Amino acid sequence: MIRDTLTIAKFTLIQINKSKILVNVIFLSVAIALVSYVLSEFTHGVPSKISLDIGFGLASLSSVGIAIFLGVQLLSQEMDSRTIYMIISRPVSRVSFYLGKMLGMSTFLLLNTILVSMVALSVYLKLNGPWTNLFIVTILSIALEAILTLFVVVSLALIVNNVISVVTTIALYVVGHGIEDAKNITYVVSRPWLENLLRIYSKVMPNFSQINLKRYLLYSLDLYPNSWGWSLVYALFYILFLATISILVLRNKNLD
Amino acid sequence: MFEFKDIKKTFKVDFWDPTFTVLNSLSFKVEEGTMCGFLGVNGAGKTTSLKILLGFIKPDAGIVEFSSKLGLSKSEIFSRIGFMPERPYFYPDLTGREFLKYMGSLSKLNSRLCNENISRWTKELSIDFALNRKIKTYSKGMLQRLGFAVTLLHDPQLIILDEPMSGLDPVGRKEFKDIFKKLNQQGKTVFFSSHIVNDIEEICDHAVVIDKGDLFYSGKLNDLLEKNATDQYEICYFDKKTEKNNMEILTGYNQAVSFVEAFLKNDNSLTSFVRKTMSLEEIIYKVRND
Repeated sequence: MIRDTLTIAKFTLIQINKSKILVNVIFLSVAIALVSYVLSEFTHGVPSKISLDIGFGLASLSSVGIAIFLGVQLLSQEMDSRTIYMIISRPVSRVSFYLGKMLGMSTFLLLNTILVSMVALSVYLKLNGPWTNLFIVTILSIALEAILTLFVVVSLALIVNNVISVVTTIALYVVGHGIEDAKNITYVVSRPWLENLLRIYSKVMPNFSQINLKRYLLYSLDLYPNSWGWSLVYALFYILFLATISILVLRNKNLD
Repeated sequence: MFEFKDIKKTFKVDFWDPTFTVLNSLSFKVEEGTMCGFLGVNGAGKTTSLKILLGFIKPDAGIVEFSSKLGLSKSEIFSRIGFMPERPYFYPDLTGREFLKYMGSLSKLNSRLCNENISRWTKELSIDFALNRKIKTYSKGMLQRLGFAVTLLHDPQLIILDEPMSGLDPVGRKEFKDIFKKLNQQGKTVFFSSHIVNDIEEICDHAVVIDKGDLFYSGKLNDLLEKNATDQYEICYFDKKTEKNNMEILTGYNQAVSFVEAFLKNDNSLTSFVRKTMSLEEIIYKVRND
């Protein structure tokens, strides 16, 4: 099973890589890095932060964008084009197929995040920005956010059609980022039922603000190991939860 | 090699729509080493049957049993099956070789054997020249050939093909049929669906015919043709008196034999004496209209 999963992951990665998406994203990130370099000349005080803000913002957006728009087709296209038949008519389980596809795509998202972040980081370091280990944690959190988004969109695509999956995932992503801030608004705090509703939502639905560590880096906030450790555990737990649901659905799904 | 036992399958288009029956307690058996055609008009339930056979969809009732010669576990059984879906479509950005290697790895072939089999089957299927090209540049016929090479890559004992010759030119159809025959001579069981009756009549020794989800016939193809043979006899002979080749069609065996005996007495020579049979296509057409 592990061998099958790794084989499927390997060829999923090759296939996505050959579609030249990564090359396009890197070209885009270089262009944006140049723009941010120029923009930083017009700022006072912290020019290096501008490049970091724009660069990491692009890393996050491109990875999440790829996760949503390629992720939604990851399994559904295999079913529509009947390619899945060639695979599961061999001694390969549906679970291996699912895990392989997800592992391949997640690896691609990690690579994409690292490469785009490296471009941003090189501009930042060129502008004499100081190095901090928080970079590694932040890059990892951007990748995790994209991977979680991927698991959300794939889970939805197994149940509803692609358009609804994409729209719902984007909505969940936006709400998931704003939920923590929304809980602190006076309008919400003054209405306990609404506060409770948002609290339940943030516990049940994907809470992306839990794994958004960019703000610690950009605003030089203190990030303690237990904080990013909790973010990591939260993301992994939620990914595991969505993977379990997807596997249950896929195992019982009629592939017609 | 496998057996369908009372398979029933219904579908619903929408939640509110009534169900419609695609397969209605379908039972048939495909014996080991046979070349069996799976025949039925469009919408008869052939593809649904194949999907149930391979576990892509679950039947509402009934079971599919595989011979223990294929193996006891699902993994063993599926490692000895080769399947090609109708109009296969593969990953467009992979090359043909990469896709074959991918499928070879999933079939647990080691690298050396995989390369040997890729070389063998792609040559046989005349697709070796395009192996390093991306699949998105392949024509429909080339995709079909690649799909067939993938199906045969791991030397399966049971070969299941859904409309394997659709999209092929006449040369391709002939090549595919020749390979089917060769595989069957090697002892492989070949089971393929088609709505083209002539293809099945030409190369199969067994047939399963379904119509609107019901079994119409399952067994030897010759038995079906024999069962539906007419009582007419075509007699060709050389008439010595007129020095011409003549042909007579007579109804009834006794009448035909009396006719032959009579002209043989006059020193005429018999060229052929054939009982007229209906083609499989005519039989299917007749039964559907009856």
